[in-house]
Amino acid sequence: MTWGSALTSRRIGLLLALAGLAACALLSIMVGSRWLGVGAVLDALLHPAGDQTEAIVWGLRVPRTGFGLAVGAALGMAGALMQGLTRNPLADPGLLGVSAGASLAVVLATGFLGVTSLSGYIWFAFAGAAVAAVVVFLLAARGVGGATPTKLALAGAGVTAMIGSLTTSVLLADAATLDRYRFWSVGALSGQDPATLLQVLPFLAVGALLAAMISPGMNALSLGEDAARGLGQRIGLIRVAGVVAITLLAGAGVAVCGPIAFVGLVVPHLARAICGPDHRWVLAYSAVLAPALLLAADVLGRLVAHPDELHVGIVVAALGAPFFIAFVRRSRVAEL
Amino acid sequence: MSTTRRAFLGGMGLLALGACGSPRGAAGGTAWEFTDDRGRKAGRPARPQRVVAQITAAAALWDLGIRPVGVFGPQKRPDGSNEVMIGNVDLSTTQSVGITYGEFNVDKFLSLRPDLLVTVMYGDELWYVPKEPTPTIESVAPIVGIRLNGRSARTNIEAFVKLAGDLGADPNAPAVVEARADFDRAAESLSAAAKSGLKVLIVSANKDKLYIATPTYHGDLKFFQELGVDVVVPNAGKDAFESLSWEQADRYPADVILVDSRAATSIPRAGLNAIPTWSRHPAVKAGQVFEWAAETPYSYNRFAPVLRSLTEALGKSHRV
Amino acid sequence: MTARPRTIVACFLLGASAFLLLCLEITIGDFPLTVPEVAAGLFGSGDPAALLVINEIRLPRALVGLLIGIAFGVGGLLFQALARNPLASPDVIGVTDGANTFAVATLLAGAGTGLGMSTMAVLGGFTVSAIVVGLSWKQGTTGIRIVLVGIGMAALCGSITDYLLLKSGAFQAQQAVVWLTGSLSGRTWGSVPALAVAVALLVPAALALGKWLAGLELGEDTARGLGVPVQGARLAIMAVGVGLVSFATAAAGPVAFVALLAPQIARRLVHPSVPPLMTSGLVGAVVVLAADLVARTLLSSGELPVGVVTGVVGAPVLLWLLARSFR
Repeated sequence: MTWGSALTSRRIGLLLALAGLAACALLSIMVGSRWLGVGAVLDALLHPAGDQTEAIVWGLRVPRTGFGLAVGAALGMAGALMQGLTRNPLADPGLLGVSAGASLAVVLATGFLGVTSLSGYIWFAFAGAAVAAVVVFLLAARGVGGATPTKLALAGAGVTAMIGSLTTSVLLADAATLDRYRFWSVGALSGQDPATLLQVLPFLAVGALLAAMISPGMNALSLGEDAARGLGQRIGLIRVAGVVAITLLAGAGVAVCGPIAFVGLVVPHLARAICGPDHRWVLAYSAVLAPALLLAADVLGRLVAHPDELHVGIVVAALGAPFFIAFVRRSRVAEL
Repeated sequence: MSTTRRAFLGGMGLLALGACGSPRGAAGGTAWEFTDDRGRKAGRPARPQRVVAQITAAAALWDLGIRPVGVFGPQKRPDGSNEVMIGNVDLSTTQSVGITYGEFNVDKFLSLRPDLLVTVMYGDELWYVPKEPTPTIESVAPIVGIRLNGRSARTNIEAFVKLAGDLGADPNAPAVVEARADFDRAAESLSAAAKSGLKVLIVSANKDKLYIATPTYHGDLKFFQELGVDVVVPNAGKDAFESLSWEQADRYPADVILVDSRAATSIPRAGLNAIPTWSRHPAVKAGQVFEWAAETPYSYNRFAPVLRSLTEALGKSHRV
Repeated sequence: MTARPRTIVACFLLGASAFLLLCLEITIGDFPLTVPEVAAGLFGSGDPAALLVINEIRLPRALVGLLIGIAFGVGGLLFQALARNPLASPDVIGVTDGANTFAVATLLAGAGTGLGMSTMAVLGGFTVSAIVVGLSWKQGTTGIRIVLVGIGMAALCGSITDYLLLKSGAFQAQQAVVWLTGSLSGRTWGSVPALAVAVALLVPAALALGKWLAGLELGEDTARGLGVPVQGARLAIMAVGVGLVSFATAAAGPVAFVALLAPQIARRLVHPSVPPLMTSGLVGAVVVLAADLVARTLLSSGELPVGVVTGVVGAPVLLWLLARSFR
């Protein structure tokens, strides 16, 4: 069963994916470590009574569902952009140094500045992500040809490794920071301050808009630089805009929820397997499939470990990897 | 409090001089032997003089007058203050042979010319001592392991008193006797305070989860239980903690909650209060949340204040 | 073919640097020793404590460093050439993650950081890469399919490792993190024989595969035209690469980044017409030994795991070469 490349079937597919996403979001509010019953959840949603049920529904489940939707969409889009920009199937949003930069900034802020509040973390993480992305891009843009895919990928890997080493050395020198970081670094939708979501939403929106604007140009770029130039595309501008969009999307995602690996790497491949190589569709599908995967994983994590919970970062790979491998086996893998 | 403490420290100093100043072989040249908690006999031709010890063990021995030449394990926090595990150890007089788990510097250890290695055990693992070079280490200095989990604080303290005694400290030195009496008085008052029957929940917590400490695992909590404190027992089997989703915050009813004070394992109180299911816990609403000084070194001196602060906490609290 | 003399000079200089670093590793340390004392100690005479330090602590550690450097350098190049992707280090193909998962599971099962853990790491590397090849096999396989399935398996193993870490106590988690960073601390003679045999057998094997590797790097069709048995060559290269990386990971944990870094540095040093296997191995050895020397001497209170320093020591070299070669 393969989706044809006709426009209508892509549209129907996207609608189905959206329906799936809505179902995941609903489950995420209904189901949790504690079974409250559908009626009680609805009641608490509509008539908050200030009791534990309301604390669980409004205080815990609604915010984490919101985080799942926003961060999932951001990571999916950032991954699609990163793979398109570097034309490398191994590229994930972290390759731009975004996660590494954010991690180092959080570790430094916790270890040396004594920042402990959640809202304190996110601005450090965001700043770290942005600085790392700028450094990677400037390094890759040096010399002839500007930021070519290979140079972006290698510069990203080098900077990421270097920053990662610095982070680890701080962590190893200090058990207290290590322990706090251990939990941040797994990446979680739970336990995040809802206010931070509202703070980063504008960044996500701008990032998504930028991504949508450059996706036609990315289609031209995938034909090769000369062809793209022939089609009247401004390659340098597309790359700069792409890097800015990735930084906004992935940076915001990492800042509020910690580095959630895998989603940004794998979902664009799934999207491509469904809708073909057109970047506009890959972007749209990634924006829907990624939060669906994230929320499904989060719900599963609450159920399997009852009365405990599993972190979403752990479940997402366990849930997504078999899907991904099956897709890779079935489809003719699209070279980027 | 502060004057008795200073007097006590003075006494310790003298005691330390006595211990260190005695020339090698002053123990009469007889062979030295100690059976540790693995059941292994550590033997030396003479009583060990140059001890390298894991940091909480070093802190416990320090209060009894033994001065290790080297320590290993966490020592300073990033802001420069001491970790709870350090106790009174003067880091300027000892060498560090490693801070991080798994990074024991054997090279530096050997350069200290040690004749005994003391470490603590949780389960059967010798904490912080690397496995592969253990035979090399033991060919130079025997290893003594003191097991901390599953035994009450008093037993653990006594284990260090016995070891310190075998290493030449005087268990009946006035300072030690005074510290023990103080500890016993603190234990009696806690025992009296526990008669109120308040339920005490002891937790570590971070933004993702709540961890309930198992009293039978942690020596300090086991001792609270022995003194009659009603400590909540989670469903954790032999593990140190039961971890729970925040949706389960009120799973175990409790009147008083002690929160882990280690920065490593718990988020600050302000962060906790932002978690809706925590802030609606009856004990939290009643303001009956206090500190759990986890990993306090096992000595009479370190533990008397721990017992006193719990006594005070129970005194200030009521049933919710 | 101007690359040939350049390769020979580079290999000679790198070999000499590796030997020098090896000597420094044995001489420098917290136990104060003079050069004559070290020389005498190597032949078995001197103070018993000094003999222990030289022969039981520093020498095996230096040898493990040398060997894993070669193994990661050669193994990393094999993977990159196989997948024709500069990012295709063993870290993303699942070998490292498989070794990690098995090793951390062994550690948390209470077996400690001994030889049991190393054996399990080798087993993990082989098991997971066998699964990757098996899953990517559909009337033969392609580089890209191996890589993508590898990503999936790596993520799966990574999430299992994370799960194990969360379930563990803080003490064990910290030890596992040290392992996951890669460390030469506390390596004794027990780690040397298996690693030495693996390197002695697999590096020549890799060199013998060099021609096939060069062919595959030009693309599947060209390779076939050159008479390379494509599927067989892929499996052989994979097997040798997995062997090198698994044994090295087992001995010292995944020393981050060496496998990715060394081949890239080697390529930019010698501008080869064929994959520079020997150069890459020697670059790996120099990077690991230099990083370990820094790791041991930088802090006075303890030492850093070597895996931390390879990133800081190696990445700037790569970035510098990158920036320079594109001018």
